[in-house]
Amino acid sequence: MIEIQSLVKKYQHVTALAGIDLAILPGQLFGLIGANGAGKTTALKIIATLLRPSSGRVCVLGKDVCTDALAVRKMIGYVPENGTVYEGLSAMEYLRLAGRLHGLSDELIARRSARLLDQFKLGEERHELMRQYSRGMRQKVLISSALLHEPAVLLLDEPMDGLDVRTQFTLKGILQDWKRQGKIAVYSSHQMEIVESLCDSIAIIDRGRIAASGAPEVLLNAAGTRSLAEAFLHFTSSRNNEFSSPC
Amino acid sequence: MNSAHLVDVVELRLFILPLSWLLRANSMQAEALFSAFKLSSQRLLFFSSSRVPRYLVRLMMLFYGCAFAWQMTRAQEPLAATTIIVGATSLLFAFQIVTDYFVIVFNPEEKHFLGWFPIDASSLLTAKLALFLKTLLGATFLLHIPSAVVFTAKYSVTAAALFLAGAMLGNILAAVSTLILYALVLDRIGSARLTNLIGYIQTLFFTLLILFSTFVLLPEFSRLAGGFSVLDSPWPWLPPFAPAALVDLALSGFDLRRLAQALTLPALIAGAVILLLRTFSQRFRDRLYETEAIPFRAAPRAGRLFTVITKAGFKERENWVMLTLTLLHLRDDWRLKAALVLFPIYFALWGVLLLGEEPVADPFAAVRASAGLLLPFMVLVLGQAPLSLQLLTRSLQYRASWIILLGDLDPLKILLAVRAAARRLFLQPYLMATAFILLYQIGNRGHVLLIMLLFWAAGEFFLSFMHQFMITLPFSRPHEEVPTGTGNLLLLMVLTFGLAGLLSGVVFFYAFRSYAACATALLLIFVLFLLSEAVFRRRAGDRLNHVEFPY
Repeated sequence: MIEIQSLVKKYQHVTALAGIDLAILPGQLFGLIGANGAGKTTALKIIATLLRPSSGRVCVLGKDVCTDALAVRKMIGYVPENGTVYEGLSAMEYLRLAGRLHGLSDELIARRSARLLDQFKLGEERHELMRQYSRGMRQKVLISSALLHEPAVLLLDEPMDGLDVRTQFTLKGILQDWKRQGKIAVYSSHQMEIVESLCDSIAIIDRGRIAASGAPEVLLNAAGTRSLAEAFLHFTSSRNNEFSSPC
Repeated sequence: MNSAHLVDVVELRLFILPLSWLLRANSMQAEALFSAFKLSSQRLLFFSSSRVPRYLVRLMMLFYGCAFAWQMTRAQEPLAATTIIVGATSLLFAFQIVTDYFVIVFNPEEKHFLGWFPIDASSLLTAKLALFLKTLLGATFLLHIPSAVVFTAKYSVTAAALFLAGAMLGNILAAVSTLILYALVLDRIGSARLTNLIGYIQTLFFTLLILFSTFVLLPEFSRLAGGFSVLDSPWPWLPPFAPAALVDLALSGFDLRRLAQALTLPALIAGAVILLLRTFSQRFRDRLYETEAIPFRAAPRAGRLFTVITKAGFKERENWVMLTLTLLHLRDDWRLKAALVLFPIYFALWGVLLLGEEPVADPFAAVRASAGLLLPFMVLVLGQAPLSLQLLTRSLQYRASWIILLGDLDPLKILLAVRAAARRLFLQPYLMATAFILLYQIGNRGHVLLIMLLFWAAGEFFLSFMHQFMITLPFSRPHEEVPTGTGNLLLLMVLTFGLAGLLSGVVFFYAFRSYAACATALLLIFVLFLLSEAVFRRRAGDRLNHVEFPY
């Protein structure tokens, strides 16, 4: 379970998160949606231990992200937005680095890397340097890296960006399996259709606050709309529309 | 077990395991990080994944080491020579640490690469320290072993051991000081501005390094000049002399040996070009293969070439665009600004040395006595060419060149405008400053005119040469692409400066021994310039036709 309590993050004069409370349960594929600059990426980065909160508390499977960051990092797989990779390495070399940093054996890394890269249709380019890769290909490597050690929690920040349609279907399949295994995935995006079709619980972030949260159908009913995009517009058009249902 | 694997095992045993034990780090993580850092650094530095450029760099370091050792054998005061050598190489090492490895090892954006991995601090420190020590030992070995051999032969093994220990200590001090300074500055001004500052350091240090080589090599040229004898020694076989041999051939009658000498030049030039094209840069080769030979819109004509050389003004739209881009580049690129700041400082320095009340040296005394302009030419060519080339090459890295392709501008005129902008902003002021110093020093205006003609031709030739092989040619990449292959570029520049400077120096020297040879040299340089201009147009024109828009 991921517990977020009164989470606040301030960058000098800008308040990115103004007090967020969330609880994400095992087996849940949780969607974070919001406009550009709403605070989605900041929230994910705090869960991934990349940023320290200004105040509040975040626990991942019982481990505090501030006081026990190393333990949290062992349990998570993270796909950053605009992910940066070592361009001087090939996909296989990068996955070997990722695997060894997670303590996997060389044999296990080789087996899982081959499977993941084949799954993402990168098998033939696996030994080419990543500086020659397109954005989508790099994204595939980052996703493979996040999945390599089979973490308990998967944090995905705009993971579909740059991916072709076939790979998007592959990733959706992987996430469905993920959910079935009872693991947690947090999916941040501004692509409403994908979030609506994938996630079983959603939080709408608006200017650093949770404007609404709950299952997709609950949000649609509450907003009186037929699509998540319309519901998003409904909940973010005014601060008075805050809505929350039990997850 | 292949050699690469063997190196990995040696590095693991020599650096990773002891350091991991010492720092209580996770050796598996440290080794993985060490490998990734090492590979990334090497591959980012060099375009080619081939090991050839890396071996060339090591060979160059060894060459420096041998040059230092050679100087040491001739030094009157060994302690002073040792101090200079150790100081210079320590700086070299510190420079390497800051410029070559900071991208990977001291990357301030590291958390975006590794922030979410379960790495403990000691493993990360172990990997970085191991890479640092590996570089330290490698540089110390290559730069100081030849000197240590000299010390052993001249004094004793103890002296050599002390020398090596001193050199190592110097390197450690320089590197640690650099790292501390780096960390302090990073903390103070942030990563973006620090990257610019690194650019300053690169420019400054590279210039100093070349000047230091000049200092090391100058005495050897004086010695060479003493033993010089026209056509009765092996020297006329060298490429710069060979064309002059043709003139002598005409003056003194046919001789098969002299004809062979004359033919060495084209053969060696063709060989060098083929070698350069084949050796350097996988990407460059790929580009050549991928590029179709699309003829230029405007075919080169002799009359137009003359216009290019003499009066490329700013009246055309293309010239205006390129000038504007150059000025924007000057505004944005701190390295270019740094080079421009260095420019007057350098001339002021030489002004003090050559024009002061008590000149440190009077290089022109030899000129007046024997009409041999060796020393001033060596000083000017080896010393000033790198600086002016820094200016020229920096000026060609337009960050927004792609903009010009959005309009209906003539590609040929654009290319010519690039040359005109570089020429007007950098080459001409350099020539004017040089002419001022020479006019003050040399009474004979005819001599000065001849020198300036040679310098002008050499400047144009350098410019054309750099256009051929610079990987940061305008239009060769979108402005936003991260420049890689720094090592290739540095290597190429050092080789260019070294070879072109040496050859120019010798050819100038020979030219002033004989007016016939002088005329030949001028003609040769001019022909090479025209040739390279034509090749440049064709190749850069192909690039223009194949450029990819960033948006």
